Amino acid sequence: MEWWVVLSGSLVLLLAAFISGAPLFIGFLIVNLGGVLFLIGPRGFILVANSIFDSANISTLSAIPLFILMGEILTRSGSVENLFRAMDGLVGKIRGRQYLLTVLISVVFGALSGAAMAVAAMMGRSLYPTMMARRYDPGLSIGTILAGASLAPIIPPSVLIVIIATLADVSVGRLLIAGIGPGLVAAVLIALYIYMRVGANRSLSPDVQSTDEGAGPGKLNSLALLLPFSIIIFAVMGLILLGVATPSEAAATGVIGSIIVAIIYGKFSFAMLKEALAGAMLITSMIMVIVVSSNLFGQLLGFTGATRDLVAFGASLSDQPLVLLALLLGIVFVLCMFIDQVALLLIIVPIYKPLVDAAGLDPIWFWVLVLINLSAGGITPPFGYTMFAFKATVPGLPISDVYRAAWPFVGVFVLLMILIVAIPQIATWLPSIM
Amino acid sequence: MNMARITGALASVHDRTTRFGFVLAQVCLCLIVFSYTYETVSRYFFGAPTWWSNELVAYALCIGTFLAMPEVTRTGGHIAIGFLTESLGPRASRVAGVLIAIAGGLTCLAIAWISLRANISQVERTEMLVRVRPIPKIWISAWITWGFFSTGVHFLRNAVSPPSDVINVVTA
Repeated sequence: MEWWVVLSGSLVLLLAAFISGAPLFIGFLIVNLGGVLFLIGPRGFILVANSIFDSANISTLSAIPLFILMGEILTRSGSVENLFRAMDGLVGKIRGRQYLLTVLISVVFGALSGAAMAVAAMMGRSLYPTMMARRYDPGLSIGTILAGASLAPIIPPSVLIVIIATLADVSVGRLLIAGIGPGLVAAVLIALYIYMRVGANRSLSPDVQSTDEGAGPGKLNSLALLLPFSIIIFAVMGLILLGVATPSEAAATGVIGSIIVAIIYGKFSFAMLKEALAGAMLITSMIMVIVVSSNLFGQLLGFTGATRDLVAFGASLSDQPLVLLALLLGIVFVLCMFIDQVALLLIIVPIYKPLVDAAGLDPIWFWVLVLINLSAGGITPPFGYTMFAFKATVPGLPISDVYRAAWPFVGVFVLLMILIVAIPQIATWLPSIM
Repeated sequence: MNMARITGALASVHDRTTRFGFVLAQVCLCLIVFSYTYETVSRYFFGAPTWWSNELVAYALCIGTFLAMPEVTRTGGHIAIGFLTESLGPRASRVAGVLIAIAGGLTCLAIAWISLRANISQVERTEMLVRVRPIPKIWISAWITWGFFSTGVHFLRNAVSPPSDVINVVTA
């Protein structure tokens, strides 16, 4: 059978299983079981058992529950509310103040949390009502929150980065650090876009000089309030950059850091810790069962020879790397509109990895581009968990308004990808000095 | 004792086992935090790396994942793309939900059966995990079989009575 028939046939089957509404891991298992029966027969079932066992025992994946637990402790303890108050006191009375505040909070929150949905839900509950009460433009407010939340998977710590690096066999530490540059550039681009819009149409933002906005705790008090969060940032990024801890170990020290921060703010309790542990373990199990169920898919594609032939096809495009890159990223962009990011990642990494190697693309650079693409996928209509998480916090809001608000910021992320293609150092410089 | 009472009692035992397993899964997460923190401090401050932290973490992650899996299913928390089923009418949506739960249950029970056969073979061949301190593979792989079996049963129970408490899913 031709390689493209095998590849497209298995992808169509997988997509059909997903769109049927079945849990994603069930979709993977059904297609994998069917694939083993078709290709090898019942004696191949041992491959299924071995593949599940092997992928469930990868210790680098332990960073996933730890990053999630860190975020759970900070949000459930209420420590992040201090972040909001502190940032509020740091931003002066400038036009479009709440938009800028949202972007800045997103950057710091992104350095504390690895999940866009958590950030979108948190900002939807706290910032959006304030923005509406202060008569900021609803569309631009929604878009800013969605774009800001999308920085969380890019700026370390990041659950998506751990999964990508583990599957693509790239250094988790280097890929985590590689996210810092693009995350900061994305924040600048989002802020620039907002100021272009506000500059062109002043009705998008109220005149803050005549309001009580910015009457926060004062600059020095705000900095003091913000200071404890540096413990977590140092415990995660600092220890990785200094070479003291591996990413998984740094994630564990980050958990201890988040407990210390909750204690400093007087928000720690064992009841909160118990809730955080339960929440983190549920989310971890949801993600891990998809990861372990999907592992065999890539191996089966390799078994059919589809991967080898795909690599040969990719190699024929190696003299046109930009065409290959546009093709690979374009596929992710389109599929992101309809498929969950983690599921998509688990499908594409085994297919893309040999292609990237064969074409000689820098793996850190390429996977950072995929990461940004996936993050933007969370706010690309019609399907995106970041949008849904935000929408869940504002029940009366029509989803069409969320879609309309998201599109311009999807454009900002596309611009970011173009910038990183043109200037790869945005992603590759920091990891190169590690 | 009538049939309804027997199935009710079995369901209650299954739920209690699931919740107890979920508590153990949280203990596994605490073990991961402790192991890596201890390893970092011990290696960096005392120059004494441990031999056990990486192994313990890998085992705790695997065991914790499969102990928590039935609880995720019991509460209807698995990640799924629901826009098609949500666009159906209430009756069609309910039928689709039942069919999906049955498919999920049968798939998980099939995987549990495959995993059980692998477990039996591991015991017969005394298979060991090649680590610094080798341990029998069955000590870890048995939890995978349990996880899929219990999850399969929960799916089939969900087909009869859908879970009421839905959790918000946070992925990435």
